[in-house]
Amino acid sequence: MLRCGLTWGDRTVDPMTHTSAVAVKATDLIKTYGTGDAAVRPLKRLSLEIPAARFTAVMGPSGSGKSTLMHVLAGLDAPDGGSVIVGDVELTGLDDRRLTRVRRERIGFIFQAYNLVPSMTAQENILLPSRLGRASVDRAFLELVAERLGLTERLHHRPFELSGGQQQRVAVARALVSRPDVIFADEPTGNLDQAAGAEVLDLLRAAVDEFGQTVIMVTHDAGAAARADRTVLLADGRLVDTLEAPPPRSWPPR
Amino acid sequence: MNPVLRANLRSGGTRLFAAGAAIAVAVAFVVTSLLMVDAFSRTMESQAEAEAAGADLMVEVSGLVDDPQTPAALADQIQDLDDVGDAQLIRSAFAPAEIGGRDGFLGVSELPEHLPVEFTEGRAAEAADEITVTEQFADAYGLTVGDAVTPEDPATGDAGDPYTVVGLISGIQRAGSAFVSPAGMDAFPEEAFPESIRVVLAESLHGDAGAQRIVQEQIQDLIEQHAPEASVLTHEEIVEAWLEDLAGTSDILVTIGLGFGAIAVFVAGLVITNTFGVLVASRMSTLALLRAVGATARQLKQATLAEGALLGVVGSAVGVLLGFGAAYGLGTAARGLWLEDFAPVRLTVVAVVVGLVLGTVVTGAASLFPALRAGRTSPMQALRPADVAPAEGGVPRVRTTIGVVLGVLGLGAVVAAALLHSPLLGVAGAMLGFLGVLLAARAIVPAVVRGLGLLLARITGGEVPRLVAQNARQTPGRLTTTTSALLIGVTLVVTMTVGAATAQRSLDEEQADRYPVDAAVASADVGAAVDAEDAVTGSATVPGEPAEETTEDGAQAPAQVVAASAETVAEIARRDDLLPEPGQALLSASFYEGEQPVAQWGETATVTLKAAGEEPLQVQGEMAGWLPPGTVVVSSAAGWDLQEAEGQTWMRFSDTATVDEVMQVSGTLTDVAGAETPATVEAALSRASISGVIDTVLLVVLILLAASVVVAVIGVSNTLALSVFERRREAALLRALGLSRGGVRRLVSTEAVLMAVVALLIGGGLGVFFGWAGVSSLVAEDVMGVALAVPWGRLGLIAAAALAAASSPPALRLALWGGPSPRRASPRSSPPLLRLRCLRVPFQV
Ligand SMILES: Nc1ncnc2c1ncn2[C@@H]1O[C@H](COP(=O)(O)OP(=O)(O)OP(=O)(O)O)[C@@H](O)[C@H]1O
Ligand SMILES: [Mg+2]
Repeated sequence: MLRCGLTWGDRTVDPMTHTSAVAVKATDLIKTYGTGDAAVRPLKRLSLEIPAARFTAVMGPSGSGKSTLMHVLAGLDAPDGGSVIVGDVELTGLDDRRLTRVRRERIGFIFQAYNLVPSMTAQENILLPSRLGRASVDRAFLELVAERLGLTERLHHRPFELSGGQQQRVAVARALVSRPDVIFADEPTGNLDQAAGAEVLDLLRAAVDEFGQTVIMVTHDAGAAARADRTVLLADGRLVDTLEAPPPRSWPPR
Repeated sequence: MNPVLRANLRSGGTRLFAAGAAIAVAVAFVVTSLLMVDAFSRTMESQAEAEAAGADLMVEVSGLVDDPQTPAALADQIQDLDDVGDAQLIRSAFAPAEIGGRDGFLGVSELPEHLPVEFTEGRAAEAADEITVTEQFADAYGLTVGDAVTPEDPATGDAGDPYTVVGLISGIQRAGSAFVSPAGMDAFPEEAFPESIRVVLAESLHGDAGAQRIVQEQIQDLIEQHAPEASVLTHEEIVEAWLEDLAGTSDILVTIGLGFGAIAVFVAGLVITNTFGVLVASRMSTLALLRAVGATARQLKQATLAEGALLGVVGSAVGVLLGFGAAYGLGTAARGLWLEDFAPVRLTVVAVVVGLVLGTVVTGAASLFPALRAGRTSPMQALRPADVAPAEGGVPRVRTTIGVVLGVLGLGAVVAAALLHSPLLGVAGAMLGFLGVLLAARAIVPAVVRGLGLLLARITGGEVPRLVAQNARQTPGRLTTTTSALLIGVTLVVTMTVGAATAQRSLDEEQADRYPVDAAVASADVGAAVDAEDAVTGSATVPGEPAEETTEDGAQAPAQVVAASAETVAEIARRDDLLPEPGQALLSASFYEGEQPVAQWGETATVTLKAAGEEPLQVQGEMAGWLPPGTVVVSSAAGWDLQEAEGQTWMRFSDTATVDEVMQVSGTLTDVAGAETPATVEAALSRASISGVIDTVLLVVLILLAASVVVAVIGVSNTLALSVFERRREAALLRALGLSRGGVRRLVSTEAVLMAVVALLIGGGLGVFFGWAGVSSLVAEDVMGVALAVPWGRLGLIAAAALAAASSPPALRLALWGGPSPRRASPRSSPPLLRLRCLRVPFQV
C-alpha cells in the first residue's frame, strides 16, 4: 500500500487534518459569450468552494456551464466578473506569464480527449509540465506512479500506439506527477467504454485516497459521480445543489 | 533542449525537410554564383599575371601615332639605360586576310621575347613568312601547323605575302591571337602601329620592385623629352591596371548572380513562411494543449523561432555544400569545354559566410510571423472540438493595409524601372510589390473564392460549391496560404514565359523595322538557284529598270529603279508598311556614300531619276540599309514601265537559318549572278547572328531562374500536402452528415480548382506585367519599343499544370485513403480524428 500524505514539494498536505481546507474558492463568477441578443451567459454569479484532498463531481444538464466553470477555475479562461482563488493564489488579474506558471505548478487538467502531444512519448508527456518549468524531475515518484497506473511498459510509446484508456491513464499520470494542488477533469471517461472508464475513475479515486490530491470532475454519468466524495449540481450557470456522498468506501472497491 | 522544440522537430517531418530543401537550393544558387565569379576573376587575374610576367616595365606608346619614329627611338634610348637588359617595341597591325581558305580579319602583333608562353604544337615564328597563332584562333578557322594565312592590302585588295603557321599557343592571350617576328611585321601589307615597349631589366635586377621604380623614373625623364603622352608602368602597376579593367566585368557578373540569387532567396523566404504557417496551423491544438499544461507564450514563440534557425543553419550548410559541388562541376566543365586555364573553384570564406548567414537569417525571419502566431495560441483552443472551431478572424486590417501600401509602392517601382531602364530597381520593386500582394491576398482571395463558389452554386444549383463558399469563410487563412503557394509558382513561370516571348518579339520587330527584307540581289535570274537553298523559304522577282540618279548640279550616278507589288511584300517582307507612297522612295545606303552623297547619312533626300524613254521622276527618298547598292524603290504608281527582266530578286530566309547557311546562299548569289552584281544578305546575317544570341541569353536566364522555380514547386507541394490531414477530419464530419464519397471528392477538387483559378488570374496578371517590365528595364535605352507578347499556348499549359497541381494531390490522397467512411466519424472508434458531440451518451442523473 502506498503512503498517504506524500510530501508535495514544500507544501505538505495531510488529508486527515486538512479535509476542511479549501483548495479552490470561486466567488460571484460571471462569464458571458457574445454581445447583445446573441449573448450567452454560462456563469451567472456562481460561487463555489472545493474542499482540499477530496473528490468532487460536477453534474448538470448540457449547456449548464460545467465546462466553462472548469476552464475559469483552472485559469484557462478569464471570467468577466468575480474571483478565483486556487490554494492561496488569486487568479483574477494575473498576467499571462504568471497565470501560465500557476497552471504549470498548481493545476493538472484531464480533458475528454486529445490530452497528449502526439509527437511525444508517454513519458515525455507525463514530464512535460516539469520540463516546461525547468523543474527537477522526481524519477522515483514517476516510476511509482507509472507502476501504479500500469504504464511502466508503455512509457516509451507514442500516443497513437496507445489505446484510448491508456491515453487517459497517461493524462492522469501527468496530472499526478507534477503534484498540482488541484486536478480538473472534464468528462475524462466520456470517450471510453465501461471498463476503461472504470479504470480511470479508480485512478482518480486513488489520487485522492493515496496521493492526497484534490480532484474536480465533470461527468454526465451518475455511476461515475457515485465514486466522488461530493457532487455539485449546476443548472443554467448557477449552483443548485451539493450532495455529500456516503462516507468514502475503501479502495479498491472489489 | 526545449521540449517544445523537440516535439516540433519530430512532428515537422517531411514538411520541414521540404522547407530545408527550399532554403538549400536558394543558398546553393547564391554560393555557386559567388564561387564562379571568384574563379572567373582568378582566371583573369592569372592571365594578367602570366602576360605581365617577364616584363619589368611597360611603356604605353599606342598614343604616339603621329610620329612612327619616336617609339623606336625611345625603345633604343631605354635599351641604352644602365640597368636595362632589353627593351622591345611591340607593334601590331590589322588587315583582311584569307585564313585557312576562308575570308576573315587578321590582327597580328609581335610576340614579346620574354613572354612565357606554352606551345601546344610547333614553335614561335622566326622568319618573315612565319606566324604563330593561339589555339582558339586556330580552332575558329580550322587551322593547323603548315596552313597558310594570306593578308590583303586593305587599300588595293591585292594579296600580300602568305605566312605559314609554325606553332600553336595554348590559352587566351591578351596581346592578340596571331604573332609574327619583327621581320614578319615589316612584311605585313598594312602599316604596323607601335603598341608598347616591354622593358626587361638586367639579369640581377629582374623582378626587383625597387630597381623597377628607379628605372621607371629614368624612363619618365626620357619620355618628357620625346613623347609626353606616353606612360610607363611597373610590373605591379600593369597587373593592377588590367585587373581594374576586369573589375567592371566581374561587377556585372556579381550583379547578375546576386539579382537572380535575390529572387531565389526571396521565393525561398516566402515558401518557408508558408511552410511554417502550415506547420503552426496544423499544430494549433498541440500548441494549445502545451499552453494548457503550462507552456508560456514565449516558450512556444521561441520554439518556433529556434526551429526556423536550426532549419536555416542545416539548410544553408547543405546549400553551401551543394553550391560548392555545382560550382566545382561547372568549373570542371568550363575547363573541359571552353577555357583550359579556368581557375579551379575554391570554397571561399566569403561564399561560406554569405551562404550560411543569408540562409539562416532568411529562414529565421521567415519563421517570425508564424512564431508570433504560435505565441498567440490560447489554451482554450485545445478544448474546442475541431468541428466547432470558430471561424478564423475577419479580414486583418493592419496586414491588408501594409499589403496594399507595399503593393502600390512596389508595383509603382516596377513601372518606374521599366521607364528608367533600371533592372535592379525592377527586381527590388517586384519583390516588394509581390510581398504586398501576398499580404493583401488574405483579404482578397477568400472573398473571391467565396464569390466564385456562390456563383457556381447559383449556376449549377449544387450543394458542393456552396460548401466551398462556406469553407472559404470558415478557413480563410488556410485557403490563402495554399493559394499563395500556387501564386508564387504561377507568377514566376508566367513572368519567365512572357518575358522571353516579349524579348523575342521586341527584337524581331526591331529587326523587321530595320531589315524588312532578308536579302536582295540586283538580278532577276537567280530565282531557281536560291529557291534550291534550304535556308531560303521564298523569293520574288521585283520589276525594275536601269536609271540614273541626277543631282542638282548635274552629276549622275547609276541606279536601278524597282517597284514591289503588295503581294510580293506580303510574301517576302517581314513588315507590310514598307512600300513608299507615290512621290516617295527608298534609297540604298550607297547613295549616301562616295564623293557626292545625296544627303547627310540617314537623312531624307530629294533625288531625280532619269531613264531612257521615261519621264524624269523626282522623289523624296529615305535611306534603307537593306537594299543592294544603287537600288531605288519607288511606288508602283510612279508611271514608269518597269520590266521583270530588268528587276531584282528579293528573298526571305527561314527563321532558323544560321550564319553559315546565309553565307552559303551569299556564295550561290555570287556564283549565279556574278561578283559584280550588287547583292546584300546583311539583313539575314544580322537576324541569324542575333537569334543565336537571343537563344543563348534566354537559355541562361532560364537556367538562372530554374533555382527559383524549383523552390516554388517545393513550396506548392509542401503547402498542398498540408490540408490533407485537416481535410480528413472535415471530410469525415461531412460524410457523417450525409455527403457522399464522390461529394467529398468533388468538394476538395472544386475548392482546389477555384484556388488555382484565383492564383492563375492574379499570378498571370502579375507575370505578364513583370515580364513586360523586366524586358523594358533590361533594354539599355529608348532605342527600341518593347512589344508585349503573350504566348497564349504556353500560358494555357501553365494553367493546366497549375490546375492539375492544385487539384490532384489532395484528391489523390483522399482517393487513396478510400474516401472517408462515416464510421470513422464516430467518437469511440477514433477519438482524435473526430469528436462529434452530438453522438454523446444522453444526460442522466
Ligand atoms: N466559446 C463559446 N462561445 C460562445 N458560447 C459558448 C462558448 N463556449 C460555451 N458557450 C456557451 O456557454 C454555454 C455553456 O457551455 P458549456 O460548454 O460550459 O456547457 P456544459 O455544461 O459543459 O455542457 P455539456 O454538458 O454539453 O458539455 C452553452 O450555452 C454554450 O453554448
Ligand atoms: Mg462540457
